[in-house]
Amino acid sequence: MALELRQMRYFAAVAEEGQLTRAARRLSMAQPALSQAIAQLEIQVGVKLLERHARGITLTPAGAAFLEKARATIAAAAEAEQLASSWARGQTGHLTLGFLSLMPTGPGRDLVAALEMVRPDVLIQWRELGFPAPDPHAWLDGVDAALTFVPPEVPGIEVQPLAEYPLAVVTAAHHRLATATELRVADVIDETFCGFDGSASQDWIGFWTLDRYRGGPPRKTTTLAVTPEETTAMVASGQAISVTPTVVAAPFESAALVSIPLIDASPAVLALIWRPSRNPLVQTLASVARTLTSSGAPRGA
Amino acid sequence: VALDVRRFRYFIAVAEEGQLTRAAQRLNMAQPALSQAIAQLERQLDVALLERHARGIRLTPAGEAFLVQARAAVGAFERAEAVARGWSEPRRDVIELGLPYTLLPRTSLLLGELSRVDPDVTVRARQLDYTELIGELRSGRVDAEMMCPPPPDLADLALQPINREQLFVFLAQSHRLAREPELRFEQIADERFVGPHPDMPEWWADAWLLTARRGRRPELSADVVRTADETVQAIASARGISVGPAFTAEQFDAVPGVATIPLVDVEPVVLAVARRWGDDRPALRSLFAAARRLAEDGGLT
Repeated sequence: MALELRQMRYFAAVAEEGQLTRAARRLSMAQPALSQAIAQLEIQVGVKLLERHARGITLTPAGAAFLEKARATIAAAAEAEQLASSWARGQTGHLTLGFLSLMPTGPGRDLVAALEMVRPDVLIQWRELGFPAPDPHAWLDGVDAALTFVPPEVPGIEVQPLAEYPLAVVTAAHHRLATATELRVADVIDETFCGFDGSASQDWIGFWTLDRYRGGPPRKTTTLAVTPEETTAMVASGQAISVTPTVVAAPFESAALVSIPLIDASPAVLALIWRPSRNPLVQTLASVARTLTSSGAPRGA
Repeated sequence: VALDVRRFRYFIAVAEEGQLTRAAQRLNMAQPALSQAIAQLERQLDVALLERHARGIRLTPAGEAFLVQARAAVGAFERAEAVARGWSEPRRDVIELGLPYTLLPRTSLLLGELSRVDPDVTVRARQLDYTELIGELRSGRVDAEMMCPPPPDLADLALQPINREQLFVFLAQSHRLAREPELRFEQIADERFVGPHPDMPEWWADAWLLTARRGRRPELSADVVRTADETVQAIASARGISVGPAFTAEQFDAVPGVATIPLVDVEPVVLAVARRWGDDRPALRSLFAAARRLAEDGGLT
């Protein structure tokens, strides 16, 4: 049958877009060529995968079954490439560290400084990531390790806690809670929270909207934010409050925003997370992190 | 980079053979071409996967890690091919479905759902007596079997639960407990049960004799029943009592001289459909899809 991965990529694009025109645009190829490639694929596998309609395409049952396996194949191949590029970075002394809305300060900075003492030749590249994806493996694509609060607990991801930070509530300066000197969970549990883009991990969203104290998501949320900046904008406008670790809240304090300690919430754990068997410099970074943590480095602000 | 599956296969062959010459033989290609393809792969990924020695090759740590993921990618690719192949081959659309006694009313719901899921599948029902349970499925004389409860050792069987069945006590109308609106385990623990056929699977007999709950088998009548008719005869003649699922109660209800009373403090048992592990014929997949729908709809109660 001699299928090729390329054909699976074409097929997945058509299935996902539901239209040859859009799929061709996404693949940057001419539509007739794509149409022909799909027809060729159907001949090779000996079964019809798509029904063509005037308005687009739908999958046959065989097409749906094949799509599932084709996607798994594409993902596994992409994973192999990610893994190789992680090793490639290691060979040239590069280490890519992901982070989210946390300035590389505090333990992040200490960690990198400690690594540079041991391996002055290593070049750290910081990469800002989007909100954590439901699959932490996908979130780590393209980086060798990442700093995150709310470290995931899934197989194949190593976690090294670095520090704990108490939580703070960030509100607009004109918000009615803004004059409080400290807040308790009960004071804020029924407030309007920032909504997060649905493609983010539910565990992660739930941590910041205090779901474990409420037993479920907040009753009221704003429209969905896609970046940390959007959540900040919503908070500054007074639409919503947000909960963050103190170390994240501090840089945002300004005339427009205040942060108030949330004194009875359990703290957030900042951790280094990574996937093993990749860039070997991550192992060096992890052992530096372990040394820092065990030597009684500052446990947060 | 968009690697193709051929590249993965080349690398896997070289890694497994430990030598370019042997790998080229295995791949049925010229050694220089293979050597070039591997070098190209390393360039593409920008990482050294192999160390070349006089006597052969050795994997670098990056190569070791890449090998694992390359195998995963090729495995996924072959599964995708297999799925397409499965659909393109002529379908065997007839399923032999093994039915222990009294299951027919439940089965007709499943078959109704199956005709909606996949109208092309024909099911031939085969009544199994109690000594034939599972054996007929394992030996391939039936393709699927309804089971209540499913067996404890499932390594060779795939299972789709359909429903939970409430338990009932079956006893003669003349029995002193026959007028009770409901019964508890303690009330029947020391009753004499209708004796099962010795060739019945032991776990199945013990499930219905409530052996685990009591810690031992109950006193048994001299019967060796292997069908529902034999069981109900023995009950009506007051030789012993019996315990069974709701679907059996529905049928015994119609038998003069037999009382069926809910057994309220014993957990319901699972009704499931089973097939041999790895028997993924589309008709069987359709049968399982129908069973899953029934389970999702809240079962057959």
